[in-house]
Amino acid sequence: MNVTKARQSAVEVVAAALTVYAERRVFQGFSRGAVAGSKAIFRIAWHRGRVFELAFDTSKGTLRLPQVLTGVPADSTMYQDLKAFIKARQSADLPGHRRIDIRRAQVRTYNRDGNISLVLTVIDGDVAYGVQKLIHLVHEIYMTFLADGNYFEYLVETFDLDPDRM
Amino acid sequence: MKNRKAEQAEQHAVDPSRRSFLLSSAAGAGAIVAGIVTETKAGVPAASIPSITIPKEITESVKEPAKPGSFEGPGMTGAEVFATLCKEEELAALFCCPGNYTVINALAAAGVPSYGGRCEGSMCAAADGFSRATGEVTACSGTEGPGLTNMIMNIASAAAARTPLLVLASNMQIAGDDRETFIQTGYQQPLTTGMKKYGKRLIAPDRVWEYGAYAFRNLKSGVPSPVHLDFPGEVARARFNDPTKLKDYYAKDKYRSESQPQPAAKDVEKALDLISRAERPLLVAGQGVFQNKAWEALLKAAEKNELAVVTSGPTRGHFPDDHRLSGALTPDAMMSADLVIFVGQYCMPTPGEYRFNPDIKTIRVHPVPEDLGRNWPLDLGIVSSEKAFLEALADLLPSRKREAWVNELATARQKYDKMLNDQYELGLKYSHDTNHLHPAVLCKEVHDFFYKGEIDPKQTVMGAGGWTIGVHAGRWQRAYRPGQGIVCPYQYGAIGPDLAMMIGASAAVQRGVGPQAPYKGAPTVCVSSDAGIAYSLFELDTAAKYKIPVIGIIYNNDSWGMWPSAVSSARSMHMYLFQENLRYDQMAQGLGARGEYVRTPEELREALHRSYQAASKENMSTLINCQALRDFTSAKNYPPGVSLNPEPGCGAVAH
Repeated sequence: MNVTKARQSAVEVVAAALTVYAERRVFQGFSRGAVAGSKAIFRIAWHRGRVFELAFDTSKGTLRLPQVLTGVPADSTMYQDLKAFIKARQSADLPGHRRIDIRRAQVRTYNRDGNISLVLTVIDGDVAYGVQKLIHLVHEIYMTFLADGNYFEYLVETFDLDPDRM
Repeated sequence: MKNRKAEQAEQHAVDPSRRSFLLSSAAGAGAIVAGIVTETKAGVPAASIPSITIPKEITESVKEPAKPGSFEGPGMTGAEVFATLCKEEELAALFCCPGNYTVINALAAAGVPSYGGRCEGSMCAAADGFSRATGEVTACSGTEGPGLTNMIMNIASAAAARTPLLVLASNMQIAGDDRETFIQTGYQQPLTTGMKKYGKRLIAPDRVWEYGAYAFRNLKSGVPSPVHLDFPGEVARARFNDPTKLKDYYAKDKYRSESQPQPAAKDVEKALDLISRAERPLLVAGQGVFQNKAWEALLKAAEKNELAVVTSGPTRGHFPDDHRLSGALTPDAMMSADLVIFVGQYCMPTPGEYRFNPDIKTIRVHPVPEDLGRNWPLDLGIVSSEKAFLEALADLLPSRKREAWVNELATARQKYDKMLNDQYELGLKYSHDTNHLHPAVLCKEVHDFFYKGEIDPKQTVMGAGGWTIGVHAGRWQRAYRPGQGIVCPYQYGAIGPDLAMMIGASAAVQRGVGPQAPYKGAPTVCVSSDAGIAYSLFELDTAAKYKIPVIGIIYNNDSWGMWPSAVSSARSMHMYLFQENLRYDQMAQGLGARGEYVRTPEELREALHRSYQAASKENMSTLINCQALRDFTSAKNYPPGVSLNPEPGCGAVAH
């Protein structure tokens, strides 16, 4: 298989994996964007009614999700807590089905002006695994990290929520 | 002349009556008791103020034997015909305020256990509470426009909970339609649109039995929800001296069926296959499992194949919280489940509302097909009664051990326990620092008293509501047997019906109805807020007159729980705040209940002890006013403040 075909195939793997989540209504909406060079964009309507843009770079094997959370200063306790939460998702203390296997994928966090991005790098070439783990991670950030921590007021303010309806 | 205290002491010595019990309980620290004021501000001896008493007309009337209507002599009124049908359908209880007189009098005469209260809205909540504690059909009633419109919030709450609630109201006369004749005329049926399964304004007197049958077909079939009938005078007061004058006057086995949908064999086979391939299956046992009394089949199926179980819905306990397979207190493990089996989940969430992983496969079992696939895409939908499906699973599932899954549940349970205890320790520090009760401390004390002390932990039915306190109370509320836990704000999130709802649940316990039979007569507990209590406080009069023992525990933080919403709006805060240090305990005392005022964990512990004694020995209700600080709601000064509880599981209020 030539390089172009291999890249197309990887993009299709990502698209197929994301489509399953859309069909399961994990996402409220999903569409494929343009493929430019080695980069493919996917738009996902998901938690808190937000649209996330997932960028897949076939040459680097990275899945990048910008603005996973916003308004979280780099020097804040919340950001430190989030990094610890993400690190814990890769811990051997977690059962295998919950863990991100660091031999197969690595996750990095970036904070620019309070906007947090996640980048998952696929190590073993199993893009489907990478997509699944990134989706699970973001899902757990919204369903567990934000819900269980001291972030009720952050949620209300950041997402302009009616506090009666979280 | 003897002074008042000496008189009371003498009376206490010779007559251990309800009143003298009040006196004896006054010795307790912080106890406040009705009728012990010795002097008014003006210096007039208080002896001139009579004590609160239950008149003999009430006690005698309650004891009157049933006297159903008869076609003999003057015949039966339309109301009596309807009441006869309700009695044959074993309507479990009626909660009402006077109004719709002909109908409520006929129901009481027919032998339907009947309760009259202070406010139609609260009586509607009480009927809902009775049903939530038993799964039985109950009724509420009020007068034309004002009574029915007062009930609206709690009809909607019952609809969200899928309560089989029969809503009754009178409605003037058909002859007065469109003339605005006299007062109280209302077009009722449009008012309950969207919050009922069936409704009808009865306009043909000879069809009163037929429409009663419509009502119970809907209340007792499929997925229940309120049914609303309104009775114009021509129907309620019509006379029938011969059954031939009534249309469709059949026995209940002719006008409805007890037949239940059975799961198709191929569907069961598919379900068994999905379960066999799952490593970490989770069964969500909804309100349908409780209402269909399918808890024994549930337990058998779960234990046979080691399925984790979490209950959902407005009633808790149809799977015991302390079972090793329970997911009630294991939020972290919920994300690990790889297959969810919804059974009797009447109010269906969307996937993002439950803490499940995005790859989870889904089976849903529901008694009617229309709802399958709504909100939550399915791998398998099965039309079946909850009981029939669970019995099939119990029979056909192979025995299987899932050690890793059971261990994961145990680990998650330990983690959750630790989180609760950490919150308690922090709350204890806040309580000591401020001399005000933190909600985590309040709820842990209540938990320890009713589940960890001398009382059978399976005994006490507890309901909780409110915002800050509701969140904490949900975390500490336990249910170890069917019908033990009531989720007052379930799905609709109404603030206020809690106490009335628990008075209704308490009436069910008092009568030992359904799953409450082994605990007949036991006190019940309601944990609520100062905002909430305003809506149903007056029903303490109702509890007192029927000797229904409820221990109300009020978290008094001088505000609506949503006050943080006003922080950034300078001219708004006044709308969110109350006067500080209001004395709900004294108000309760003025209504014939006991009152307790507490600020520390130690005082609360003692107050709980006294309140329980009064409830269990004298059938007396108590309201414990727990003085708190509104700032406990916010994480800014008192972290963690408020955070919602995971869904599904203990403390869940939605779906």
